[in-house]
Amino acid sequence: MGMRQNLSPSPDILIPMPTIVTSLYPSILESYALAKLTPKTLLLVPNAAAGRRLRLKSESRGLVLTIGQVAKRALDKAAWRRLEPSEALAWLEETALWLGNDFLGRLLVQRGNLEALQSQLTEFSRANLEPNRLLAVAGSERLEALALLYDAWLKRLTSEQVFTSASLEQMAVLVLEPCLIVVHGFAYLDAAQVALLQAVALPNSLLTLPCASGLVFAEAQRTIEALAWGVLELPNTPKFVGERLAAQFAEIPIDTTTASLAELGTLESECRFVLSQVRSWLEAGLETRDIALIVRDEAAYLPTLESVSAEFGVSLVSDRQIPALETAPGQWVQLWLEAAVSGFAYAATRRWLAHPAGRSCVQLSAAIRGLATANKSGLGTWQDFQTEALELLWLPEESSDYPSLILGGLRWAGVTDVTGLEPRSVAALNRIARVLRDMTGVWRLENFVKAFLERLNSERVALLPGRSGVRVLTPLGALARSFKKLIVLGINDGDYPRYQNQTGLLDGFAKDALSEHELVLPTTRARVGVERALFYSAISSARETVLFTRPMRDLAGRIIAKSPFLRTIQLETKTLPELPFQSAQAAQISCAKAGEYISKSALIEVRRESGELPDSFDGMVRGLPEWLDKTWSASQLHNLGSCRFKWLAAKPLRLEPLPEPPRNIDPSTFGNVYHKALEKIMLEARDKASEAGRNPSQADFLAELESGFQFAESIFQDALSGSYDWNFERFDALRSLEKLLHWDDLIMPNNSPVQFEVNFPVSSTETAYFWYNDAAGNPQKILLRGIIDRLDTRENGGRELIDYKSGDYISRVASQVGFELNLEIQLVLYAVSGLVSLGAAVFDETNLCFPPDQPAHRARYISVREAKDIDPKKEPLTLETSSPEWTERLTKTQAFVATAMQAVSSGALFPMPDLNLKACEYCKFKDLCRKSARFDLKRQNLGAS
Amino acid sequence: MSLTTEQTKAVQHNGSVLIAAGAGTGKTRVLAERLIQMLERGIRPREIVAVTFTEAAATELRSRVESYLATKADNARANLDTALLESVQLLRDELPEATISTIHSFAARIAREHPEASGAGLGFEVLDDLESGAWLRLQLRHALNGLPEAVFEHFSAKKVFGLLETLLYQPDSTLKALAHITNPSVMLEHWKQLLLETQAQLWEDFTLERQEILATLEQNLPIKPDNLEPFRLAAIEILRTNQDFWVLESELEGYSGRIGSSKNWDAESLKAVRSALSELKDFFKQAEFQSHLQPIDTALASALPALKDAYYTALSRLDQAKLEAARLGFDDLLRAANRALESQEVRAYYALRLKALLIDEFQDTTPSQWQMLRGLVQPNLELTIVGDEKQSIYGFTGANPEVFRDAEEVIGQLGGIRVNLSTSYRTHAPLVDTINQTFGSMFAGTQTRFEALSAARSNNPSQPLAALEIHAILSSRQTDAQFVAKRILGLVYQRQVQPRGEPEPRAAKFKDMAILLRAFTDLDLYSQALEQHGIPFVIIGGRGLLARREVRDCIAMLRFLENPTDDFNLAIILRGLWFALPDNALLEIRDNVITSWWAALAQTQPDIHAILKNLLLARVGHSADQLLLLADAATEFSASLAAFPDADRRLSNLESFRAHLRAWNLSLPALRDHLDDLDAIEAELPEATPDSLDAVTIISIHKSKGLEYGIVFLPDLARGSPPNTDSYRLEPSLGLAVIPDLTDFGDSKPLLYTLIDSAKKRHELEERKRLLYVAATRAEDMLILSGAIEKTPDKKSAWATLSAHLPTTGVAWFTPDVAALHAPVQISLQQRQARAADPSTVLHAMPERLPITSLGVYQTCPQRFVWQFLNGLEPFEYEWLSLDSEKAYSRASLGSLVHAALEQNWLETDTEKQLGYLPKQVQTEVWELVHRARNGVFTALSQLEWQREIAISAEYQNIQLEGIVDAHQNGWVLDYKTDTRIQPEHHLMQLSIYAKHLGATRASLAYLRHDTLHDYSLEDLERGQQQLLEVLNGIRVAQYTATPSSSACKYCAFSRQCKDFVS
Ligand code: SF4
Repeated sequence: MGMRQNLSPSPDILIPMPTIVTSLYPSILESYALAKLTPKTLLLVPNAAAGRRLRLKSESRGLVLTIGQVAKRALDKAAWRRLEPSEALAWLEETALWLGNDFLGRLLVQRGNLEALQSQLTEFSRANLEPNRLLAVAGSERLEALALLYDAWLKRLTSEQVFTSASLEQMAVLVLEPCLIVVHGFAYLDAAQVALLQAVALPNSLLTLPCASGLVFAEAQRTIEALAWGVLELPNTPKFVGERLAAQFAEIPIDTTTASLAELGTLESECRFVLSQVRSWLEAGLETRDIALIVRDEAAYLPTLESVSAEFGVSLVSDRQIPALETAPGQWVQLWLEAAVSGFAYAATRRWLAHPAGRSCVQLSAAIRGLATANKSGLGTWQDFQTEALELLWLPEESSDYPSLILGGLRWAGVTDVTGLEPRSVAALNRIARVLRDMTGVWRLENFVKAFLERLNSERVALLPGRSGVRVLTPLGALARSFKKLIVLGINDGDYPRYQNQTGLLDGFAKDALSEHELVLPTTRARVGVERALFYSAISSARETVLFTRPMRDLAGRIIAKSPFLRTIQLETKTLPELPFQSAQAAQISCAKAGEYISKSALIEVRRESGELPDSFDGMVRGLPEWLDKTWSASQLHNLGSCRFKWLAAKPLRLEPLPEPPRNIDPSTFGNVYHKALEKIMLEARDKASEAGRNPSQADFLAELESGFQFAESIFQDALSGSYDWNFERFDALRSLEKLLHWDDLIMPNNSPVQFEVNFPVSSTETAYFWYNDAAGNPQKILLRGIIDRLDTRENGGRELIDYKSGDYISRVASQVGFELNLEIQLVLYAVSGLVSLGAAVFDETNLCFPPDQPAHRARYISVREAKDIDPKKEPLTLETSSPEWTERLTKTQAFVATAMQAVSSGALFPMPDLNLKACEYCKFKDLCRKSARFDLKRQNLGAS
Repeated sequence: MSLTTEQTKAVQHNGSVLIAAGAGTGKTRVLAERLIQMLERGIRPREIVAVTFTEAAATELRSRVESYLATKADNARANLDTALLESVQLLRDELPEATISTIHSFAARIAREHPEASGAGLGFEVLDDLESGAWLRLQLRHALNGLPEAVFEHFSAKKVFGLLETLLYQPDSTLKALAHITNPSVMLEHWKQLLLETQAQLWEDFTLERQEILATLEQNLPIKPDNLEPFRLAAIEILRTNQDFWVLESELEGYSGRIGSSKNWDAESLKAVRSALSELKDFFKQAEFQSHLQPIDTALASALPALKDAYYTALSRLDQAKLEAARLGFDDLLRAANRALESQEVRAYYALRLKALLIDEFQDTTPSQWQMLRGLVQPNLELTIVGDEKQSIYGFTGANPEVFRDAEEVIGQLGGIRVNLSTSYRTHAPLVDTINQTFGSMFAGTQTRFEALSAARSNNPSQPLAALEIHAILSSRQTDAQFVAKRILGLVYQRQVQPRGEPEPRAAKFKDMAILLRAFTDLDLYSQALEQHGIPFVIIGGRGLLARREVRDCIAMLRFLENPTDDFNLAIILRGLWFALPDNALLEIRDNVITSWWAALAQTQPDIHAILKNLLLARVGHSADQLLLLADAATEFSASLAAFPDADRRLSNLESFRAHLRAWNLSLPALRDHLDDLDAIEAELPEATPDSLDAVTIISIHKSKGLEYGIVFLPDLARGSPPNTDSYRLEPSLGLAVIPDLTDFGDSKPLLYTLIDSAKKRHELEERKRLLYVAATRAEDMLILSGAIEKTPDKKSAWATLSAHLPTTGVAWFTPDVAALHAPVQISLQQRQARAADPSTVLHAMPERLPITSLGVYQTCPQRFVWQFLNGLEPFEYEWLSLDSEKAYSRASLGSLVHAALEQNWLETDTEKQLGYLPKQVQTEVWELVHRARNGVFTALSQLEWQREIAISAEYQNIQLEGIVDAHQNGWVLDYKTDTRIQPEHHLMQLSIYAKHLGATRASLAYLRHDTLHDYSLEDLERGQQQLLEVLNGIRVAQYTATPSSSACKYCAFSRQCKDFVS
């Protein structure tokens, strides 16, 4: 390590020059600096808050400013103009394109590269590199391009008299006038700051820097060398606990002062611990200003701290800013504009209209049910569901009026009212207004939106805009400040020091090569040096207590090591810390864990999960005898027969998840199209054939294929629009239909199709029944309805009932609750209710069977896609009492209906799927039914063995 | 612990090295020490790349190196060795420059360092598999609409879309496979060739067996002539003379296992000859010997170019979309890096920079990853490869043994050596012996080289009980799961384990146990069994967090908050743990529904309605996780979770879900979409596993890689893997085969399909063994194998194959009594007295600093003060107040411009120049006011020597008051006002503070618009101090009630949002 050089000039040529005063301890430096202040001196500090504190302490009337403020004031005074961040980017792009450099040109076509270029220039600028020298040594195409750009950028800034936040100091040097300064509170200075000080400092000026020998002060030493001012060393006597600990960190043997370390499982529990500590300090009478929380990674910590703080009644303040786009109005306006650009496509529009920052302009759920499957674009499609006239939020493709349309829209949609009490939102609304103010001229919508959102993204608002509360600071923000209690959060490897290993355009090798030409860019080592220096200053700001905390695992649950910075600090480790202050919730949780308090919900849920007999929270409801008089469908009975709760949820509760726009065609849509097309084809073919006085032939059907299919397509147009590409998918459908029409058994020999898509009962005044005996043996019946896909007449005068299935899957119910899904019921229900209500058959209600004196009917399931019989035994089922198969199925179905109706009338509608949980596989009610892992026990408890 | 000789060699070898590291042999340590050793040899951190399989492994490696260096520095410091200290510190500082990362991060580095050559740019965001899956799903429609037509002439749309959907998720291997697609006739010829080569290869691979068969046939002769004899002789003849295998096949055509009479042979010989001949015959039953080109091949050959075209079209659209969105998935990163490395220049760039490349878990490196890493190899590079062929289990990602072989060759070319690490630090000797025997036998004669392990620890802590248990469950898989649960209960606290690093054996806890499952095993079956037995467990893998009930409840809450008219999710929160309403209450709500449940709730459950309503109001300004916390505070959600037997698990999952919400940082509608997407792709998020949790781990074998557990269960072993039901076969090195479905080819399959299929099957057969090996070697102390044997296993069944390799000693075999396994224990719930907890009071935070002007605001209206200065609410800008956007610049801003002009002594031209960005009338107004300040009544004033813009901080009662004094000179304080009305009383406090602080005796206001100078009297100023104390007192006791009045409200910037507003 380089020893500090005392650069005092030799006695014979006494050029007065500014002095650098060093000591290990900030408190000593502070007293020294304050003592040197006069009303004429300008006190330069690292941040405004430090400035306020020192101003108060100094009792002097001299000006206190940050270096940035000085620079900005000077530039303002010289009438230079500051470029807004988004403006600065556009400006840089312009400069780069104007250069006509090949490399840059290629780079700029890719998104995100501009930002990278900007940060590279920032690095050059902070390092105060001389563009000409950079140009002179640029060996590679890349470096040359960067040097050219840097040069052009600086030149253009200077000639147009504008500056960006990156080039602030560099530009200010051009206009600053020398004055007497005292610079205090910094841990080191970068090259641009050094240059600025050299430009302004009059001989009696002063800079204080915490410095001694050792690694921690490498950056301070570099600063001293760079400034080449005289150096004065002050004595080293620590005043505060923080300073003692800082000295330990700097590996200076000192005393036995200790800090505490609390290690917690996760970041959230760490934040809880910290806030609980803060709360207990506040209760003990400390002021919020006495406490500071230091975080290295604000993005990770602030949201969590903010979330948890409410529970502890602690308010927090921070300087962190977030893009205006991340606030409620920002999100709303973004969603709106994106929806507009998409032509108000369904999903984008839905997202926008659901955002809580606006008034609810539509009946959202009704609209979703109405529009999701069709998935169409346009604000007009929402018309039927709107509660406010949405047209006012429509935006033209091209306009000069977007700013006022957007302002008007935000007001009209109530965003200003809804969000107007939320500080971040109001700030964001103001940024929106400000950005819009600048966006004059005629724009195309797409470009306008792109530009507007980009600008809004660079506009920032305070994350925690409150003014009073406990401060959350970064180590940098803690410079030159002073607190009684300091908590350093997240003291883990990776954060202290922070590794920034994102090599961009220039890596360590390239930088090393440059430094050989005295073009010094910060290396990783220097960055780590900065981290050390800041950490040193941060902990030395504590007057009484330093508490370190850290999570032991990251979000993914991986173990993280503690920071190497802790190595030389004497620590008392608190391993499993008790919360110093318990919030109401935490108290409740620990009571609950200890079994001293069990909430009502928990009692219910634990019971539900235990597999005990179902209770009133588990599907045992008041009897629903009124449902016995309603008209049933096969699918209702299927629900009831696969899991009773499914029926309870779907029917009496009428719950149905909101639909999502289809990603591709839903298989059931294919089924619908097949059905419709087949009906149309057969109907047309039959009618045409019967005009010619004959039965329709295969050729007749095939002749109708295309037109019948088109007819079906037109009916299901909306659902089909979900297809990736219906142009092609329709061929699949057509092909299977064609195959089906070619199938010889589509209509059994000697049958003739008479009716298609037959509804039973035929009208609302008619009835269709299914008869059964209840458990007591009393005759009962339920009303049934359904659609028979096709009804043929058989040669013997009987009927043949045909049900089409798309694939080869047939729904079945469990003949006994909790058993396998083993019973097909639909064919039986349709055969009895359908045929009887259509007058095609008679049923013996006493004996519950078809009387033998009528022609035998048949029933079959056909797979439309595969053109085959799928039940039973691959051929039609004959509905004759003499058929044992039929009799068995009929009896079982009757028994099933009896049990099911018993369950409905008694209200025993608990969740209980079949043995193999097939019912649960595609069940929508998974989250509702509280399905337990202990079905087996429940099943046993229900007496099913 | 010191290093073994083999470890030392691996660490210290100066040059390239391949480290074959058996399971548990301390390879991470070796890797770390080797890395350190390289640093000590003078290689700089930035010249090193170390690639690991997971993020966690990278972190571990880095922190080992870091802590080694730290200790070294500590020692140097203690020994006052400054030179050493300095060099070590330098290394520590530069360590971040070493690339120690997963291969994907390294690929990202390459892509980013060469933004053009890689085509990736600099600003891209890396999506993990989860996010990129969700994103891709959204893009499919865009990618698949309007594909070139040709492909649909060969395949149904269903097939095309289904296939492309799948293949777009794996562009890397697909592109490699598609590269084999050329012109149809060339392909057909190639396939034919491929078949011949494969047959020859198989025959070649069969050599050992052939020799054994030949020996058997030669040794066993019949006693009497027999009709089996011609077959035997023919086979001997052919095998001996090494004739074409087809001759043998046709010779054996008539052979069946029943030929030969036992009268003519001694029983053993007959059996031996028959089985030898059967083995020969079986050889020819392999698919490759049954296949030849058929019409379906011609169809495929002509279809493939169109398919390739369609894929390219879709993929390039996706790539374009990715570039536009600047979002790349892992596969994309690799492609980008490989693209960059094609350039000579880029390779030269790394040749200059890299001195050492270390690759961990090499056996699972895919060909593309290897292609990338290989691209960096040059003669001066020191290559370190650490891997264990036996643990290669990621075949489905494309990893294959050839990569390992190739790497070995590269190491050879670099003059490197091979070191075997074979001492296990994980497992004790008795278990290591059993594992050696089992897998030694299992891997014999396969492609996988087997090296036996030795154990560093000799004792089985549970001696004399066997360390390997095998349980044949003569029942269903459900019973197997029940058995596992029972066995866990039997072992916990009764068996001894000695986890690594612990000095003494101790009783086993739940957390020492893991159930390792193969991918196809139904995880629910085992988790349910544990749940039924009240055994705490966590699942690593499966849907994890997103399937947990506590998280589903939160998701329902968030969905409701996004859309309160979403009846479905409202019902879930009402019925679930949030509110636990009985079902009758739900029916009652339903009966009251006119528009939505939400509306009906107001009548039937007003309390719940009120809670939810508050949450809905809180949506603006609160993030999703905050809303959940608010919901929690308003209900007893987490307190309820805390009452469950597995409370810790549930609560940590809840916490972890909140952390994810924060990381996603999405608006409610976007969050809803994201959650829908995650559900749709069945995304996996791991459950939280807090250290405090004493729970059994259920984990897939793949995920268990690198982990270790005291007791390992490997259930469901009687089941072979299910058949591959995909309708296509893809192999990067061979191509892509799909069955054309527009023409009916019956059952025939394309030749390429068969070739890939059987090659894969052979690979999988090997990989299954390795998978078992990985699983078995996770155990530290005990391994428990079980399988459900529902019917007598035949000799080819999975169970029989496994059993055949198990040793006879050191193993305990059981056939548990299935009947005794049923009826799990009931978990009883103790009901206890409820105890209400004290609600915590919110501390009112006193402001600690305030602008002096704020006090005047407090005087006007305390509510306004709260909004503006405590809540930090910005007043609305004028755009929001009026539709008239022509309205002039806001008053406050005007004042500050005038002050600036006065301070800086602007002339009219300066004003124009400085304010050029403002509307003309504002400029004019400013200049006019400035002008007035210098003339008329103020002429005399302006000639005095004023000190301007003085910042002051005054402390009153612990509150820091801050302000800027416009002008001060010689005991006289002056403030300029641009107000439209003269209200000196309004500024009294302000001026009084200024005067007091600056020790001034005179205080005046210059009302520029009215050309009026107002002087305060000394009494006035005294009164100002009084007022100040009153105001501060009001603030201290939080007296914040609004004091509306028409005059105050008229000028209040918060009037729009104030409920007390009067006009
Ligand atoms: S998930 Fe299963 S148990 Fe729950 S309602 Fe659906 S079928 Fe019934």
